[in-house]
Amino acid sequence: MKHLEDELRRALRRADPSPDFAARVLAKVGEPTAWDKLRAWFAPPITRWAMAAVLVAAVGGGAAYEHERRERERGEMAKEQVMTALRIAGAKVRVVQQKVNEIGAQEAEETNGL
Amino acid sequence: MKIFVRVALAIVTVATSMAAQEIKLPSLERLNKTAVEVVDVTLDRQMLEFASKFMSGKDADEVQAKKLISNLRGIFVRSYEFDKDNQYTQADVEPVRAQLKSLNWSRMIEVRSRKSGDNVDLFFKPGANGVMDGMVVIVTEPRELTLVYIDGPINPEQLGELGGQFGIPKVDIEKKPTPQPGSTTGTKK
Repeated sequence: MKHLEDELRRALRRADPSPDFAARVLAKVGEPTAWDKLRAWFAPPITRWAMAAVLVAAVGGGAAYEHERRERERGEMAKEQVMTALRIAGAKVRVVQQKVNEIGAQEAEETNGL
Repeated sequence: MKIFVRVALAIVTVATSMAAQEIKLPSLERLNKTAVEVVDVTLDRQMLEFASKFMSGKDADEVQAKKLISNLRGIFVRSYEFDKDNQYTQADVEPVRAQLKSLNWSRMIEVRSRKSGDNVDLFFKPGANGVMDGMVVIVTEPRELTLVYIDGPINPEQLGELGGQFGIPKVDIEKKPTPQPGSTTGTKK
């Protein structure tokens, strides 16, 4: 127990700083932080305008891409509808053709039968 | 359990199309309840032009389709299939026939079959220089009703070019079936 107390006293006793301690602290206080360096980089107007332009371009580009994607989707759907409509129209014209052919065959039969 | 499959392809555009549709197909929405399959297509000029931009220049079918629709003002299809006979009446299509008659469209083909119950009509609108300026096909069968209206110039050569595409046969529109007296299958022109 006494040994522990001695250890604690030794660890917590006051110690004088090194002679250059004050100078080192004052030097650190004057140094710019990383945040200060970053802010300094954005300080010139041209940098700020350039960053704004990049942001606008990114947002605009994303919107344009989405618009293009949706247009393409609509267009492909419309195309499929046209193809379907033409197929159905074609099938019904074929029905008409078939009926005409049936009549023709019937006429031929009746003519031959006469 | 009746399987109700509805293939609804209707796109109704806002009325900004360049020319109004001459033939108004009747609203047959009440048949949707009893039909097992419905195909409803409304494509006006704007939609055809829009769709045309997305047609491939390499696919033969699409190349032909693009050429065909390039001058069309619209394509309209109403097709209903039923699982029982007589789910519609001729009164449902009479408004179309009446319009065609009043607008002096020519009936090229008329087939009436009492035996099978199939009726087929093909009308066309004469245009300038011998070109068809529109075509209406009406096919009524006991379990199927189909109305096809193509608005715009379709000339006989175009129909011939479509032979083999989409299953459309080469149709010689100059040959017209003659009436058969006493036959169960009526013909005209």
